[in-house]
Amino acid sequence: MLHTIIQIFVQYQEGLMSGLAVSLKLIAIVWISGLFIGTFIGWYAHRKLLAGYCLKLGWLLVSSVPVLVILFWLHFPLQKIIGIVVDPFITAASALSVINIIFVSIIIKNALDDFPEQYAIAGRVTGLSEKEIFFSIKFPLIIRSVIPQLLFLQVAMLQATIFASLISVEEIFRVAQRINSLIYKPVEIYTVLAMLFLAVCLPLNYLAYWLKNKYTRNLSEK
Amino acid sequence: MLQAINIQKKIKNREILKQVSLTLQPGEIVSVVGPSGAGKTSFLRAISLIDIADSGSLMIDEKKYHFPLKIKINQEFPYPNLTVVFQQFFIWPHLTIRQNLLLPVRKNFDERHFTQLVRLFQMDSFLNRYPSEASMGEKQRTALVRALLLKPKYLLLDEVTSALDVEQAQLILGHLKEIANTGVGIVFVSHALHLASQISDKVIFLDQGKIVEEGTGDILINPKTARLKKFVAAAKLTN
Repeated sequence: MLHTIIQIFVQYQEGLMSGLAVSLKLIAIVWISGLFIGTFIGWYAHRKLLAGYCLKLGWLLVSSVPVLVILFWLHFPLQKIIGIVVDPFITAASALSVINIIFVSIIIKNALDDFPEQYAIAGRVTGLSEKEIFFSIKFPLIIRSVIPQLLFLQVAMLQATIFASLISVEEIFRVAQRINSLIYKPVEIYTVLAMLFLAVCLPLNYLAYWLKNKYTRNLSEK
Repeated sequence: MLQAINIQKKIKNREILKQVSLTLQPGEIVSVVGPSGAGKTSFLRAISLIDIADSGSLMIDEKKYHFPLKIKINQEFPYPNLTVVFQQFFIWPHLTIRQNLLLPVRKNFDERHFTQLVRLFQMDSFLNRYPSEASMGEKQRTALVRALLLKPKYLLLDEVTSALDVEQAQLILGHLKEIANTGVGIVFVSHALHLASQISDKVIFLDQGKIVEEGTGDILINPKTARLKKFVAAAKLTN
């Protein structure tokens, strides 16, 4: 079996790599938009009550509908209603980005809402400036509480990119399916796919797990 | 001098401070005692400007604050000339004990003062631990030393001996007297009457948000009001 796996790797290297490139391009868009826009929205929703309610509503809606349904709905009914045809890659990137932005926003908002203000007060009464309080106390504490959650979420988003194959995006899962339809070796092909995902997701998951353990211990006084 | 005049504070239409006044001279120790819920911590938070009072005024040396106070950008707060040690310590959990002590004084670090206080409060053994690895007593000493390193003129202490054993509490009381002798004015909020009576120049007994009785430490031995008599009797029974 190992021989066949290596053979598939070698023979379909170009196709697999191009599929992987599409997946990575897709996830890069999803990660960057999610982390930057999501952080900003989370911060804004923490400061403005109305924005906070809107975000919660958005989060409830998005988390109640499966990713696949959102993707299909954006790709088929919505485009038919509006009367436009959008490249499936753009549809997938937009749908997954919106989902990631909402989930990142809610993580950031909750971390800011739950920040124990007493730590900032302790900084204030010891004469620290607001800038020092932010950079030495608030930011490190908030980062420690959100990084593990954000990493787990980004891994989940990476795994969700395979749904893009169902609206014809030529990403790694779709390429694997096409190779399988040619040579019909599902065990070996999906093993190759699993190995590719493992190579990317395992280190990220481990990092998230390690950070969670490390910082949960240090922040237990919270 | 720190002078609070007729401090009033309401929370959700409930009056928690009713015309409470206090005068603290440099080098003086004033204890604020009373049962749980009497408003001791609320009063301390009001005179340290952590919570803004609804009415009354506060004078800290030359600075005057008339309530209600509108917080302005660049408002001149009295910190760290006046500082507070909280009952819940609020030791920053992501920093070691040493880093907790050094963060507020990193710009004008006095190594001799640091070493002196660390030795005095027997902190050498746990300086490199995180707060989550320290005992309650160690955290309480950390909070106190973090404040003392600032060389404040006024030190407001909220139940600082609550997590300490009898020996440690006595040790800290001894140090507080020494600190007061160097000219630091101390407000000592506590419900432990025996500790308050040992160190205080003045005692204020608060109940239901108002001053019921005040005077020297003697009022805890020979109380005049029925309410303080009852409270002292209950404290004696507990001890």
